[in-house]
Amino acid sequence: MTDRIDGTAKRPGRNWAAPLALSAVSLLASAATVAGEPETHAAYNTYGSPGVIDMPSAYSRPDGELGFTVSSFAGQTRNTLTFQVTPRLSTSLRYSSLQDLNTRNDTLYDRSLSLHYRLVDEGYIRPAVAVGLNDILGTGVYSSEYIVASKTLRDALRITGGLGWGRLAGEGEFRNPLSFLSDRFEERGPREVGFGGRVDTGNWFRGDAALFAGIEWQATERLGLALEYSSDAYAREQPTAFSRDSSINVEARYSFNEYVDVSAYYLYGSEVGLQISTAINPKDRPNSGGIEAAPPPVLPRSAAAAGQLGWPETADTLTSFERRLSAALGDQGIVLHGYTLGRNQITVEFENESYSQTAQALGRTARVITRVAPASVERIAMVPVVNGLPGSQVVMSRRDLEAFEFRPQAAALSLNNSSFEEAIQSVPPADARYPRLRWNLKPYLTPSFFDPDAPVRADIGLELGATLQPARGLEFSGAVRKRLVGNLDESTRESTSVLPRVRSDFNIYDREGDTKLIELTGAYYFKPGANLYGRVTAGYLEPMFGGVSTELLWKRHDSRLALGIEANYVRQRDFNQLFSFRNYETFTGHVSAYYQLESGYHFQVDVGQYLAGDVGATFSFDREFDNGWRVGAFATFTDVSYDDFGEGSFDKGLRVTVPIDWLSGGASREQYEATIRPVQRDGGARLSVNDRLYERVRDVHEPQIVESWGRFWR
Amino acid sequence: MKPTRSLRTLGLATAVFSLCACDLVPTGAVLNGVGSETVSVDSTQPRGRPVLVAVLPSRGARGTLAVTGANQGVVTFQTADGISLSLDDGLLVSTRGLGQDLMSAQAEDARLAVLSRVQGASYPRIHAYLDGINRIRYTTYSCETSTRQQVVEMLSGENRGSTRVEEECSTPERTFTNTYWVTDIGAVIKSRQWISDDLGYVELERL
Repeated sequence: MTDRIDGTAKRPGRNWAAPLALSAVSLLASAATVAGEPETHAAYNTYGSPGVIDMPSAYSRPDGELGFTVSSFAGQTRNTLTFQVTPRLSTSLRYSSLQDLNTRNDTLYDRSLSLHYRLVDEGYIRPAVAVGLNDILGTGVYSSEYIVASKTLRDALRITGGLGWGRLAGEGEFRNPLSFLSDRFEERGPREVGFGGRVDTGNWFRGDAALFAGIEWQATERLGLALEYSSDAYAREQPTAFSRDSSINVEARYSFNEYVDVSAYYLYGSEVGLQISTAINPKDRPNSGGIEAAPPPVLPRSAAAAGQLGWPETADTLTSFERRLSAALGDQGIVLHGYTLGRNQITVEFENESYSQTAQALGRTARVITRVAPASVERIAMVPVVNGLPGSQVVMSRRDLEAFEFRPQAAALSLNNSSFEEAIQSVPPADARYPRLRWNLKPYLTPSFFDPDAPVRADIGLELGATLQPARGLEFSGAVRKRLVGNLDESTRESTSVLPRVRSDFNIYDREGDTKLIELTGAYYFKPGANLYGRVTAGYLEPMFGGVSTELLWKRHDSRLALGIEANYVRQRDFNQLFSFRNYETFTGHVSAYYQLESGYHFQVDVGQYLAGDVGATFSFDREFDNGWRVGAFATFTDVSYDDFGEGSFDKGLRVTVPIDWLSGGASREQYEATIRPVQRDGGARLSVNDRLYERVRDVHEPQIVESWGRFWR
Repeated sequence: MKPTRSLRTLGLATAVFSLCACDLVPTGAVLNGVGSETVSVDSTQPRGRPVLVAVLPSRGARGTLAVTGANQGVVTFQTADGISLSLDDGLLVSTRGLGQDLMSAQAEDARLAVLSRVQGASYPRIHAYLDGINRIRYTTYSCETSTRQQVVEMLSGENRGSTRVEEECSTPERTFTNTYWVTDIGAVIKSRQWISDDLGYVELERL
């Protein structure tokens, strides 16, 4: 992480060239970006995917970018969330409303998933080439495949041309060129829609094909123009929604800044449309490192006054030492959990309450120790603690801290000269630590999406929460919510599920829960052995279920692999979410494997029995950024048939985690976590429990600490 | 002197995350119970009298700093609202609390050349910054000094004779010029030094 990279920062000045538009960078410039990523990026098209206007293009978006595009014309509104998962692979999740289709009277609300993969990078003569699939999991309204090439001709001019199948072969179509490979490519069968949500590979690149093309010109730094020849016939949309008078589309695109684009277009010779694209890139932090208060300087023993770092001889001075240490850590937003003090060494267990990265909490704790510990203390051991459970023990020498503070390679030096160990030694908790009671009152907003009756609903209210920690590892917590205003209770859709209604009755819970008990639990966290962590939680675990949840996790403190087993026995709670239960009760449990690659990709597999009694597995994949951002997807396959599952066929969704400190710049451990499911049904439903072990423990283990070691001296 | 938060990003994030099934709790709107204070990051209160004045033109900010620490010849100064600057004999080697902070720097050659008021000295300088995903990135500059005598007006109104040393440092991407006013005994009484692209220059003067 301490590599030498020269000149990667931006030019000073406010009007930085907007990369959402064409970047005016000469092809011949050898300025390679980090990780050899190409400089040219596609714009977002009406489908919110990398493209020209309505057609795709071969360039990608910057690696790690999360973009949101809303486009609308002729009653066709597309809302798309797109993530550049790798420098080459882009995925888009789209929620569209299609009005005035000639096949139905009402509006069709459709969810679709698209993939775009850049196969070949642009070279001096060679164009960039990409391949893509549209509408993989939906009902097939936008189903198409394509292969496309793009080339930048001069600085501001680029051309795109490609071959499309399916919907992209609606106009000017001809016999599929792939049919020389096999006769099967000649025909495109009717879409096997069923309940939607399934991948229909049988039709990919089948049937007639057609050509499409586009040309883009960056007229000024902010304004771009595009012209396109579209092969999409809009067979279902016309003539009822609009009339397709021409295959030519034109667009003007204006970039306000790097992250916001607005476009106006004239499509198909008859329709005016508008589009706005916004993007965010986790790698591009707004406050570049954060604006949290400066850390305390290291106090070298040579500079300290004689009395400052004396040895606490009496019980009184020991108590005051503990108080000073606790107060100094508290000033840094860190809680002293416990410590042991020896002549030459000190071990401090701390709880990080402020910093999103443990490495920063370690650095601040180390600085505080140099300012408070007796001068004879040379060996400093620090252990981050969560739920009373110790993480990796980080050992450093005080002499090193004093020497490295202002060295240019301070981060690398401190990492290379510290050692990570399993925390074995038992550290007694500080006097003031237990028992501890905390409570808080805060507002909440719960939105709900994708109901065709009303695609957006929300409730606003107040939440009162409290946590009592009487002893190490023991926690009693509760939370009560009172709705103030909202329309979540207006949802009248009845669940059509043939499975036990473990989740699909969510709107009844919304309707009947006015003042509701979100959770009321007692939990115990413990370490049964080396590399083992355990949890038992009992009570009202979540709004819909109560019971007992137990978990055992095996994870070495220096490993990226973890294995866990969870066993729960629960009963479904009453709709009013007070103290009573309904009749349904069940056992649910899983065996899980977790693995984090160093490159930041995370895999998880859970196999077991879900709340409705179905048995199967969940596969999750996430792209994790070292600053706490996560974007990922999951899918669950169980022994419930697609028909029994109902709409959507199987449980799947996306999830995004945004660290608050990334947004605000101040120190914070809070995160926005969003899970977007196209449909909430009863198959593949897992119990919701607070503080599952893996997520808590991995934060304080070596791999995650080292990833953000750049923050140690911050 | 505290830089303001990026409203653009907050608004942007809200726009992006309006399409999510998550509970949104505005941070900062949490009321905590008496006797259950959560700890929060507080700035190390600098003791002693203010000895340094700093102006950050890019933010329109100005503040006074007092000494909070000294280690290996580098002195750390801090404002009351948690911004710190660390100077090695007057040369900036580290900042904190500003955003795109200078994490650390190799400015030993610069220090020798500036304090000795050498004309035409040529040497490298290395700056370390934190990127968006918490990696340390180094940039190496090629620097050259030029000097001339100049009477400089201090904040106190006093005019002092000094040598004005200009240090021009460049890479293919950018160039910056640090200016130091150095007395006969090699003390930097006033300076204008580059922090980072985002922050630009900071102007320092000893009180």
